[in-house]
Amino acid sequence: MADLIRNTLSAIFPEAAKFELVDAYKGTKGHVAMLAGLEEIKAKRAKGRLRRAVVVYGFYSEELIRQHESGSILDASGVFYLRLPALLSDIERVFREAANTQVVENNAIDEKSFRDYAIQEIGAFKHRCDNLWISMEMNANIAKMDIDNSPETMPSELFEFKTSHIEKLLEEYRKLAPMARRLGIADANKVTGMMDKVIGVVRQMQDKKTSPINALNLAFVCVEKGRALSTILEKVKELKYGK
Amino acid sequence: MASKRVLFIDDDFKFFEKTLRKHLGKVGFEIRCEENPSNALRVISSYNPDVILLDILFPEGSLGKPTLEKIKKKHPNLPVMMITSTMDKSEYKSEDYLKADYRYSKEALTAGDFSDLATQLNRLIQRAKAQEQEKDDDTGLNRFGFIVGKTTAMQEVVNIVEDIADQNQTVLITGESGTGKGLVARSIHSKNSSQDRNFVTVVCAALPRELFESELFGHEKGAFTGAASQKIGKFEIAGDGTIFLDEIGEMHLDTQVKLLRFLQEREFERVGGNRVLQSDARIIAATNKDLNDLVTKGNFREDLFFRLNVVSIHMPPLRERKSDISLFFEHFVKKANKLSQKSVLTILRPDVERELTNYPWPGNIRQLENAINRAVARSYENILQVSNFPDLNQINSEHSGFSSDVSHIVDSVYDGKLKWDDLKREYGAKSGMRKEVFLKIIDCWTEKNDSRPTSKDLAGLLSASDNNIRRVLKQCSIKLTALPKQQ
Repeated sequence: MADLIRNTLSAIFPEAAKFELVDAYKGTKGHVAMLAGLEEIKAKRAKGRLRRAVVVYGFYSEELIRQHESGSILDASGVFYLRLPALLSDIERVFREAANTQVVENNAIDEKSFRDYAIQEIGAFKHRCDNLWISMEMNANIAKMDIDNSPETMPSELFEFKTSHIEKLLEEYRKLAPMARRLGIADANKVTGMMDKVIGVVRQMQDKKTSPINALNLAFVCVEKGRALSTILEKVKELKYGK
Repeated sequence: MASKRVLFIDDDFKFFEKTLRKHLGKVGFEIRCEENPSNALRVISSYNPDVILLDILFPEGSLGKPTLEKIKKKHPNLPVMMITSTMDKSEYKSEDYLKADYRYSKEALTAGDFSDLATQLNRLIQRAKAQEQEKDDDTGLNRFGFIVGKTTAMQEVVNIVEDIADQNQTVLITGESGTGKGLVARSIHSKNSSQDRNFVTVVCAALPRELFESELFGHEKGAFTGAASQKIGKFEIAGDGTIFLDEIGEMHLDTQVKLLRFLQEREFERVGGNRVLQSDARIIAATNKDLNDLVTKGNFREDLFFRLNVVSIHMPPLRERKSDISLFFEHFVKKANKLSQKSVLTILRPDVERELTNYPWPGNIRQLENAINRAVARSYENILQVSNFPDLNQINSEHSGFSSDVSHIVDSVYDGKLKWDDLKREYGAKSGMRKEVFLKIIDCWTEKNDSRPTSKDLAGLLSASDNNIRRVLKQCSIKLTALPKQQ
């Protein structure tokens, strides 16, 4: 249905090629706070990917759309709302305006939408980091028990410390770092460096010359650094829920 | 001992997988990991886990909550433990996870000790099993509210019920009397998300033609002679719930027109009223008649038939699901025990099973339930015997060509034409009949002699040994001393 509407509108008004046409609901099921279409615009704008104007369409009033949690994106530069059904003249007017709109770079996303999106993304990232540090601490403690019993044997749990896990998170954070800085998270700049250090420590652990006891000590160093990193990102919770 | 299966749904399962598998494996758990919560139901169907460990936060957002709801809707008895690093009150709102059986912080795993997690998992599995057992002990019914059994026909019924429960189509349930059409209607209603709404039954055959419209749609005060006050009809009572039109095949043609109008427009007026009312009630109709046949004969409107027959469910007769008789037996014995405050065991003796299976059950499950109710109520033993089903036994005997006229037999005994050997030959495997014959012989003796017989008296009458008679009386659970001394 959404495709049919978009294709029909695009066929009637060739200027539609100059902007994005997005269904506000776009597969959203039930009565939810987040509208999938608006969320998509929010994500693209926050990541700096969507610099063209957008016409959002839907069958509900603009007032109702704005009441949704994701409704504030309609305040961003170059975002228009078209309520259907509409007269062809009204559609043409909105489309012409959208086609002639240059998105203002520093207002590509409204502040509320940006904050909501950035907090959500960084929160999810922190959650993944926490999972990793928890699993590292778990494995380190099991390894400690094993070493107490058999000091010369490298506990298998220490092989669960993998640089690939941290590298993946580091790659993710590099994309999130500008948002973290814009949110004003203190020490956001230190996170990449800290992750690099954890990767370095894991490499040391994997060195064949490293003894089991040294590997174990390094494992706890990883855990400590990871926890410190999470403390920096803890700030998003404060931003979301207040102190 | 078989491992207890744990399904771990977490996008970051790779961080934990090996260690959990190794350490929980040592204490009898088998772990399967799934990173995508939208696959949960599919994996549950194929893996059949005993318990689920479900994360809350996924890359697409807090999918733990909707996943929990989906799981609990489809598998209400499957325990789900929410496991997350997010236990902060601001992020984990416990009211969102009321359906979860337990919540566990991943932080608790950092010590590298899995005994607590294993204890909690075991506790949940045992609790679920106990609940299942309790439920089974209580009613013997599954989540559908009726016995599904082993036949393909009933599996098909269950599939349809599951498929349509959440929709609002009109359903037509067909099948002979006593096959459980009403239970299926209730099951469709209770599995629907609107199960808290009303379920109203209208037995069409029980309603006089002239009152039908008023019963269904209500009437205003003074609408007709005798309408002393306003009456709310069944459709209004049902609201947006379910209205079950039982025995729809008995509905008169005049009233069929009125029902058809409602089905087409979903609107009605109370008799004598002007206001147009609406109802979103789901219609489930049932009949033991062949509606196609009624349509051909002009006794049922074809258009109404098509309106009702959007989804059709056919309930097989009991004679076509004899493999389920043991399940029904167990369920009805439990139910009858409650009714008659007895504690008859649900053990189905092979000879009883044979009797029950050989019987054609024209009244279907309802007749079987009544037979078991009677058997339990009249039983003095803790396991039902063939003799507890005398009616059945009699009919089976008739089927086998044997005379069931007990009085005639007793007369023949007193006339000396029938002796113990004859009775033994004829009733050897039919202890129900044998008991009945013996009771009748004793009655006759008591009547003729004004005192109850001893085993010796009976032995004399039947030309049998005293020991034989004592043994048979014991087998038939007849205690001569417990019988009245005189008539």
